[in-house]
Amino acid sequence: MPRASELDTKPAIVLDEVRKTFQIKHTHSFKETFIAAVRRKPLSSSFNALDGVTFTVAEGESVALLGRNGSGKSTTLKLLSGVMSPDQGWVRTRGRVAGLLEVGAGFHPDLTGRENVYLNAAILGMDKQETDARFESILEFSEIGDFIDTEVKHYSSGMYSRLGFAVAIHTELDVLLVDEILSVGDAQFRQKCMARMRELQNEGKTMFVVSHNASQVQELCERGIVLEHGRMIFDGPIDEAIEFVKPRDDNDENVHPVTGAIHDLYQRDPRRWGRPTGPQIEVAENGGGVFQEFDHGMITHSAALAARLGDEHATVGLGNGVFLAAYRRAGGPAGEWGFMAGAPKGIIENFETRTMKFQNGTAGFAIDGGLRFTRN
Amino acid sequence: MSDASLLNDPDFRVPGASRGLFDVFRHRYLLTLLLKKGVATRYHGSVLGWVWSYVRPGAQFLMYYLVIGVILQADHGMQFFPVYLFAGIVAVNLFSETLRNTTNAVVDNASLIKKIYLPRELFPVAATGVALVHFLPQAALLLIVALLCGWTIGWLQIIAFIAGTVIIVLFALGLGLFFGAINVAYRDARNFVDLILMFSTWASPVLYVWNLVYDRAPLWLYHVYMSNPITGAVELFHDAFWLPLEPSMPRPDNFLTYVLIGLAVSLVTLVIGQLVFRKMEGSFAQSL
Repeated sequence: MPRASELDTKPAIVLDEVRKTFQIKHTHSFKETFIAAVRRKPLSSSFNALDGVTFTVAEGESVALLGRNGSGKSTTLKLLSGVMSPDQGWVRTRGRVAGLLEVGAGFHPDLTGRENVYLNAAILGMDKQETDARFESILEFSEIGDFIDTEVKHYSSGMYSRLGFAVAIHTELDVLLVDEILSVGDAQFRQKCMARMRELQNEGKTMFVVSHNASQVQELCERGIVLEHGRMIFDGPIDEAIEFVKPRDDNDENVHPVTGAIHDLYQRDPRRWGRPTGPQIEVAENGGGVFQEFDHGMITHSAALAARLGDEHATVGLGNGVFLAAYRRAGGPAGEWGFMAGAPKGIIENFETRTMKFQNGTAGFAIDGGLRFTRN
Repeated sequence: MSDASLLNDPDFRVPGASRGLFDVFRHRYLLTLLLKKGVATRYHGSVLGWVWSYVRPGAQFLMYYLVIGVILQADHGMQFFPVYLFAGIVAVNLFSETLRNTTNAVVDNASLIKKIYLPRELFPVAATGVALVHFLPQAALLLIVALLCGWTIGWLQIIAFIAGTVIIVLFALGLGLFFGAINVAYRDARNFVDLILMFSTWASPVLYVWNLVYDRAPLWLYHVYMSNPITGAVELFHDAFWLPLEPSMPRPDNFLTYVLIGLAVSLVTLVIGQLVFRKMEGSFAQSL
């Protein structure tokens, strides 16, 4: 990731090829297991909540994690906070990590607000002196006032989450994990929260935010990562990331899944390709394979080339342009050109012929000669 | 690809890595707060509050005394049978309270465990602390009864009392870690614990005396019976509170050996419980 190397310090968060698999049990007792076994139904199934997710967050950076429900956002946060551990790959964090995960999770309804502040602060890793020093400003921030010595079960839901948020935002931390925040309290309190978050940003704290609220995220973060079915499909400036998750007008299905070998190429630079405009299509001709169209180009994967050259060389992408237009007219991977076999070469500005290898031949383009395809 | 050199960089932490029970001691302050929370909320909403900590064992004692001592006349010629009975009941109560609390500790704190990472052993250990606090009034009551009967304090009694308490706590915490971890995925564990608790009163000389087992059971079974950590602990409590009142009563041979075996069994249970707990804790957040 270029961002991490731009700053000469070590990153705050690193995920490498992380996969998290959940087993879903379909039976919950001996009786059900027995019946399912007799009927030869599967006893459990598994799905990958996260699959091959790799990213780095630099120190002081604010990153938003976007995606639809069930895309693996919360799982990512849980891996970062340590509540869960990955089944494959690794996760590392640097410095004190504090989670603003569903504020007030540690509150006990039968304890007073004051007792809960101390308990929750300790849960978030603060000791008594640190809490004592911050207690006044926590109290002031939460706007709880004299109710602080009342049991929290008598609190309104707004007071409850305000106090929880106040404690969390005052913890001593280097990395702040935020899950669906700022849905707490009224508009005025939300403003205050945003101000406080920006204050933390200015102090150089790293922030990792999960939210559905695009405008808040846009205000707070400079970078966005988009997840889709547990895979990373975009990583770049926040504005583009938000564009990415916006529902399309022309299409009910938001995004077509990008999977397999095509995903491996795609995820190296999702911005280059944009969003998939159609599903992955299987091709039987020319030895078989798959291809998928994107906003800014097409990626093909040939089974025949994969057997000969390995997956890496069998998956090739081509941006929109002369070659792609001609390729499409020739029938794409199913046509006489076959699958793409290499990147375009040659610079037209230098009066070179621009060429690109395909499975069944080479396409060449020269300014004066136009485009021609030479079969092998 | 991320920089693989970061994988073993000491500046970086693996989220969720812990050293089990040892990490609990690093979180002493949080432990005391959890303990306070457990104590403060134990009898929350009840008018009598901690009086129940006296009433329950008192009623239990009265019931056993009336049935076994008075109706069945099974006091085995003991002049201070009530003290004998009460000492055993207090010991077994400590065991059942600790085991029940620790088994439920993880499930009871599900909302926290699912959201924030803490060494999960904190919750069973805090539950053990609450059980100990709960045990103190009973021990005090026992002490008062023994004093009224003419008991005098001595170093040997104090050591026996502490040793008995330690054995019970270690054994119950070990079992609690084991069943508490399994309870997350299979709620059957709780029912199994109920079975253990049902047996525990009868599998140690609480309502009767040890020589009955010695006389009637085969020798190997007697050895097993005496090696039970709870038997050792109950007998230690008898040694502490009742024996000074009736020093002429027969005591089991090689009692110290049995106590040491019981202590070893407790420690092994604790190690196994911790290992199983660590093995299972990775899936806590999913299963809860």
